Amino acid sequence: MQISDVIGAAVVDVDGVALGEVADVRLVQDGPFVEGFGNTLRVDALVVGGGGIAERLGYVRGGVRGPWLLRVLASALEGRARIVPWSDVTPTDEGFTANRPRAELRLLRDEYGDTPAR
Amino acid sequence: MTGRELYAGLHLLDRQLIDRDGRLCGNVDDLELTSTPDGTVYVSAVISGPGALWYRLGRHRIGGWLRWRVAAAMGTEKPDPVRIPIGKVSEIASALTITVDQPDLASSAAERWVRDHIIGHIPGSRHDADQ
Repeated sequence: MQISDVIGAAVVDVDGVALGEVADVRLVQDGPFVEGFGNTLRVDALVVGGGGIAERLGYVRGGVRGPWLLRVLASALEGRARIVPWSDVTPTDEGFTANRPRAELRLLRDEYGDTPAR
Repeated sequence: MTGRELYAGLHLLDRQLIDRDGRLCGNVDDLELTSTPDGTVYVSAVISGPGALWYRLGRHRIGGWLRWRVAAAMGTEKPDPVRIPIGKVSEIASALTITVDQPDLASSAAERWVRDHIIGHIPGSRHDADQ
């Protein structure tokens, strides 16, 4: 499997409600040890839905700051994405199913907090 | 949660690759994922070179063909020159530094093929530019 097989895949919740597509994949460097690199990057969670291009600007996750108007708009859109832990994901022929209802999945903005506009 | 946190799309995909001598040698086109018996999925290799971006953009057939063709054209003993094992990545910053020489990578295969098969046959081409 490659990361391109994951990003863009459709995700539904446990009730079959569409959550959107996988916008990004969160990796944590605590995976199996590999000589020359150290602990590998483990797939930790999927970032699902949100604001499309706004997620690629990194205003919430990447700590990008200005210009303030773009920051406010992009942060609002990116923050709507939901975090689906990899441990709660089941691969299907159509994409992935989250083993929880939509309401139980955390929003990206809940994990990072709102970035205050200046 | 311990360990550094990165996002594949935001921090890795499309980033520049730099070889051990500081030469630019392609971009991160994709990441290979591997599962352990206990269900942990981790990044096991960086994918960079002809065909890899086609695959990522959904053109799996032409991507797979190009990847195979480049490996054959390179005449290398490496089973898949498009694949850079994660153990060869020494640093992840704004660019990824790898402990591989640029000529061993598939990303420079097209340039090398043009040099050997076209430029090399032009009279006067077999000397250094400053001579």
